[in-house]
Amino acid sequence: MMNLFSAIELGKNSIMTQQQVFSIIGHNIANVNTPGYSRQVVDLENVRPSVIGLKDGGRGVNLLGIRSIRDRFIDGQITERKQYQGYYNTMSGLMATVESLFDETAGLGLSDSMSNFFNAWGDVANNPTDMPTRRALVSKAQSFALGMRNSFQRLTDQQEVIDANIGSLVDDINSITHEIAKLNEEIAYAEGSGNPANDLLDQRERKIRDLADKIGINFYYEQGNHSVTIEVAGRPLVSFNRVNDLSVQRNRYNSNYYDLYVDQYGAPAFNITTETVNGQMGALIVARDGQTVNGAGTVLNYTAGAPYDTLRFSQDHGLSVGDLITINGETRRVITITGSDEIMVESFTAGTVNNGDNWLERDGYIPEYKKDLNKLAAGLVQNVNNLHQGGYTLNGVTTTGQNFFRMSSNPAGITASVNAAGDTVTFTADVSTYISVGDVISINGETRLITNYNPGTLQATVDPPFTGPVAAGASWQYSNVQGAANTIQVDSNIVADATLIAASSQPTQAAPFAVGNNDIALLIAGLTDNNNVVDTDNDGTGDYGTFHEYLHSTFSEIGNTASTANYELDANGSMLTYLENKRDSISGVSLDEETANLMQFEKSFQALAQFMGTVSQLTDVLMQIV
Amino acid sequence: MALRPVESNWYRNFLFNLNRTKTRYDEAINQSTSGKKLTALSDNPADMSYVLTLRSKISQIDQFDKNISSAFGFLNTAESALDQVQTVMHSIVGLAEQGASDTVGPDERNTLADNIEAMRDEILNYANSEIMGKYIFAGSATDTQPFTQGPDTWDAVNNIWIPGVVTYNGNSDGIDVQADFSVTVTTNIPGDEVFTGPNFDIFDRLSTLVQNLRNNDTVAIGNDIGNMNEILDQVSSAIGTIGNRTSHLHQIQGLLKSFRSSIQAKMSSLEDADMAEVISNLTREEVGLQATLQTGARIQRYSLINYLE
Repeated sequence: MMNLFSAIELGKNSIMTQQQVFSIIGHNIANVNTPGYSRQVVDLENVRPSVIGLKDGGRGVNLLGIRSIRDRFIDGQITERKQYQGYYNTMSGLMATVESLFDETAGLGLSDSMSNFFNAWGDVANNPTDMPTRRALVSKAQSFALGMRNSFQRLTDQQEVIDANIGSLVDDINSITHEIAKLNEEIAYAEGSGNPANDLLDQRERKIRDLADKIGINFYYEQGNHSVTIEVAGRPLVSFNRVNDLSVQRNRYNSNYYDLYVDQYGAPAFNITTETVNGQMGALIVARDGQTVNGAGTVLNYTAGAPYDTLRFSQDHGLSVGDLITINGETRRVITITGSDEIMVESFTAGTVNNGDNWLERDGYIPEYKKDLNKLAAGLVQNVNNLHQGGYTLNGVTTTGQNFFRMSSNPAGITASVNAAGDTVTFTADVSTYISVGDVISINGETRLITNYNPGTLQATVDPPFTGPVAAGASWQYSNVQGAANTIQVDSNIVADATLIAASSQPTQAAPFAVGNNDIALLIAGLTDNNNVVDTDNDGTGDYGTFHEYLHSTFSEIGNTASTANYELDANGSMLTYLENKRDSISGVSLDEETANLMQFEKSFQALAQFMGTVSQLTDVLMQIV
Repeated sequence: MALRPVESNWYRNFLFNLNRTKTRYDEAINQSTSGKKLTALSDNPADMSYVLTLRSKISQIDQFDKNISSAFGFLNTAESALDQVQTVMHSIVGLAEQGASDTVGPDERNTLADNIEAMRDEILNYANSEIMGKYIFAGSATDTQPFTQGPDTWDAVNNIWIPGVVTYNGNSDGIDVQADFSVTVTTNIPGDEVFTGPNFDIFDRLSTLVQNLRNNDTVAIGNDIGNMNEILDQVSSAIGTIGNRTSHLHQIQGLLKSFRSSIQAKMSSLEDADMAEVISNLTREEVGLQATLQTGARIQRYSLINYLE
């Protein structure tokens, strides 16, 4: 039977339990603004009597446990949504930058600059012998060419900025995965020793969410040790306390940009670049390289070669020079289009490609915009030059055959030599206006990739090396894998001497002395209305036009991609808000609720204290008897 | 679904909606200050691309307008030169008629011949007319003087001076301007289509008239009067051609002007913001923003905590 002292004991235990309840309420209130905090509730239990019998009462209240209220299902949905949020947030920002590179709205963009160029030809047609008019044409043409080169260059700059971001994002991701692995360990330890690791679980949930924001992941919870296992692109990233670090390696087949690798427990790291499609990382890779999509048909005929393989496909490929293709995990760059169904690419590792294999290509985003600019520039240069070459200049020396724009195959007067090792080409003058890293150069029928160029020493490094040395004075050709938009330039002779503009279709310096003839100028000015001037399918003949329509279709693609990213970002934002609301309605702290609890427990605490006071008085009464 | 009310949700919703309202408010401000609906490629990609195409058309039309003005310059100069030639020719016809009459003697005929020879030089001058340093009757050889006169030669049989032969050094090349998307108009009349052609050489006929006057050959002079009228026909036919071209260009210019304004209207409807709408949107967003902010300030004004003693 219970005595007065055990009643004091009961009161003391119960008051201590109540105090713990207060500390939980305090913890909840303190964390009302902590993101991802799950409110904790106490489970109380009445203490059973020491002996179960008719005359034995209970022994007060005891703290059974502290639970945090969470819903794994909603947590999972939020994490899933975070991957898209991270993707569209980054993509929307990147596309806004790309968009700002083409500010056509102010009337100062490429489209207007191209109109000015053609109109300047109209002016020359009106006044073919007037030198100021001719010089105005040269300057309009130069500013158009500069606009093309700048747009192209800024897109490349953007790719480089993205590339640098990929490098630093990898460090962020690695530090998060290590923290998750550490939390996995701590949670397993705490739970193993019977202590619910509520706060650690919240912390880990937050980390997983941060991770999902940065890179697309799959994750699931293990039953035994409460750890979370995380996969990226189907490869293990975090498994209990072990982490496979992400790393980057430069890919010389993709402009020396970073490829993303995930370690495999000591085995060679696995390349997951093309499979990373979500989170910030996914957006960075997609914006830089384009979306990875299946190529048309399969490999019909593979012929290995050095340094270039030849690939024939079962269908037309639709590729352009400089495009990336991936077969069985290896990515290579297209060097030459040898037919609508055939290409030459940088050699694959022996044994990688087999006939019948599927192939992947990239679609959209920055590489696509660069490609569009290239095709536009190539079409423009070709069409203008074709007409211009047939025209007669006002210059007494050069009569016909003059190019208006510099063509990619006439590095006038500059010759080259190759060193004994075959890996260094020395030019007789600066060639930086013709070639850049990533282009290919041909000397004596051998074609090599330029990996470095130093305008100071006039030397370019090539890979792989030429088979032997080449004596000074060798002629060379090059192919702008980087593209026409990167190199478009008004012929330097025309810049120096505007009489070389060929406006006339008849001799000007001999009979009939047709200096006032403007047939060629009219034809070039009229190119602006010509259809089929841009070769979009790389078959060597134009199939799309006009120039303005082609440019505007590119703008519209950029606009659409940007507006889709903005729309998806907004849609994801409301979805995420809804999910977080739902999560907080279950797990979040309600101040009213906590206050009500506080008031409730305050009352019972007061009552308990009163109870103990009464017991104490009773004890005093008994003591006075003595 | 009834959610358990939690403070953090109130703040989250408040912030989410505040952001949205502010974005719309930003848009409204942007539209009302720029006056444009389309300020970036992504605002409405299809409309934007259409607007850019229309803008390039307008730029082309402006160039056509420039081309037409330049054509007017050439055609008007040619027309006024030929008008002068007509006037001179009318005087020559008058002089030839005097010379053909029996009332004048050889001395007077000689004087008439001198006058006509001077007028022939005047016509030669007009035939060598220039605009901005370019000969307008030289075909496309615009920097070559189209008509040059050889030295007078002595006719030992009739004992008279024969006026120097005029040769055409230009070519028969027409110079076109692009007047419209598909119309080109020729802006010049080569000299061999009005002075040394297409039917006969004006200067040869004038030289013949001068010789006949000096030779006192009244029958031949009488025939020459008909020849002089044919010269007038040849010149006026050229003037007629110029007139046709000028009126064609005027017509095209008018069409381009109305085409331009219709394009401008279309462009404006695509890219210009409707001010009434924009201002009312702005007001609406302002009210919305105010309401959102006021609501935000009220969150948690009533909490149980306030009643805790």
